[in-house]
Amino acid sequence: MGKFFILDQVTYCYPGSEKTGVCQVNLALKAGEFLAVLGANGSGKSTLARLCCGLLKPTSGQVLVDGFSTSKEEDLCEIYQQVGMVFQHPDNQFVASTVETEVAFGLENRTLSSQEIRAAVDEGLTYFHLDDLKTAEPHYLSGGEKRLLSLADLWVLKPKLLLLDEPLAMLDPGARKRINLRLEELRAAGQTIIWFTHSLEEVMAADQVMVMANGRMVWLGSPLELLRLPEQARAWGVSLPPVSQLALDLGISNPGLINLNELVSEIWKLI
Amino acid sequence: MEINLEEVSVEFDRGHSFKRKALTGVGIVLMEQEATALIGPTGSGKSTLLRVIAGLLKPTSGRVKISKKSGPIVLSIQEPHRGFFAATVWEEVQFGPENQGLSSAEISARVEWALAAVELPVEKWEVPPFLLSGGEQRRVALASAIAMKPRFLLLDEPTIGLDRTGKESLVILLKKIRSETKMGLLIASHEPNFLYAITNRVLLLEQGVLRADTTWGLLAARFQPFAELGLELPLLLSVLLQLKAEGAQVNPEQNMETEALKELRQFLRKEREGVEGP
Repeated sequence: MGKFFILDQVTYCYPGSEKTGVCQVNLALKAGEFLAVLGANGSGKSTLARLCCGLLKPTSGQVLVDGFSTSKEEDLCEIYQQVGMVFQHPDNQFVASTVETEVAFGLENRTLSSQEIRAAVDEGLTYFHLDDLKTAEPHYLSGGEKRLLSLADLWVLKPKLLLLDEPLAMLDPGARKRINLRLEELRAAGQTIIWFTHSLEEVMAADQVMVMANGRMVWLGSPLELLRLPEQARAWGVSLPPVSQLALDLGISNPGLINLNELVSEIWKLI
Repeated sequence: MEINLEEVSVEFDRGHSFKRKALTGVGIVLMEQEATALIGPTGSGKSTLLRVIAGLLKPTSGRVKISKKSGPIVLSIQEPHRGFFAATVWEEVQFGPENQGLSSAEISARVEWALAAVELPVEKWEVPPFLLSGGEQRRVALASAIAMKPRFLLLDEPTIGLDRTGKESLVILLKKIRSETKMGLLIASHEPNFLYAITNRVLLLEQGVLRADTTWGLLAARFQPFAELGLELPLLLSVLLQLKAEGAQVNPEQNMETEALKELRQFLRKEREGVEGP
């Protein structure tokens, strides 16, 4: 006990395909932990994400959320209440015709009073800077605004486990910072997060980083440890932070650099 | 071939109380063979501008003139795989050229060229596109666009969902296609490092208004107001700017990534050899 989320020998084969999508992944997370799952395109990240939230059932092994198994039909209702997933393509999850009814949809299915729903929707819209767009149709928003909306949809439901599949794609640096701030606050409040991406820079704040290749977990450690294995990380298809990448290209031997100031001072040291 | 936008404005009115000016009085001239970056914060009108140029959206006012037309203008939309409909990758890529009135031999040749150019393994050519990974789907979408041999290719956030290898090969691929076909390129993206590797001209939109039509080098020289919009310069330019601010003899006004890297390397070499003191 003590582990909130467990992947136990999880394997998944797509029907009709000989290749295993995910192969024998083991992992245990405590409540409040932030795990990053990194890997190249096609390494099994999105498949694993779908396994974690119960959209796919493992071919063998099991996924346990707070003791409930995604393989048991009778447990799914509880799991769907506890796990929220932000998909790689926000359009896939929109159901309503305006931004505010979209944010309200999940809440309406939670036996709340209309005042409570109203209050939660307003809070969510403000939190993600969507106030001005509340009467807009979700599908006519810009790509970045859709991303903010998909996060707001889930955030108002306060899921115990938040799964994020490439949550910063399509966002400008300003919006990325805003989202990062929100996610930091959520973590400080004890939110358990699994973040799927190929960019190490996005998840430098993670407690643990798991690297996937060909459906298997090939490495587990801290973000800084991975940064110190640049050649290995590149071989796995992990995108290094641009600063680390440029440092490598310039022959700077300290691979732990992540910000511009550090890089520039290392450049001066070269001279 | 030349695309001329004159005072283009677009206003969305979707029947709800929601109205929004997506573009206001945008004037641009785009020439064939140019590679241009389109940047701006989320919701600044980048996708709308691309759709107007591609002829998918009629401006509310102003006009788009295309002179000396020598081939199609093709837009590869954001998340282009969402438009997939064919049973196999081959048929998906074939759809564009099929509608260009070409012979079947020419169509096959185009599909084969395009799929090889995006480096999709041959064993995936007969697979349903829906079964491919996100990155592979992006390659198929790009193949679909280039199979039409566009004179202008417009790309909307082409790096979304691509890993490092995917981005690097996209850069190489786009450079190769441009050197082969001399097609014009306009790319909207939030990734300055990716854009800098391919483009030298930059269009900057803010809330539907064209705030800058310039080069990367000139943009670097007067970037401060744009940083406040939450935009970032390519890393190499930021490094050069900071080195200069700290007293280094470098010129940060570099329009191309290769030139900027050369400038940085040259600075390191000179300083190491002690040809010039700091």
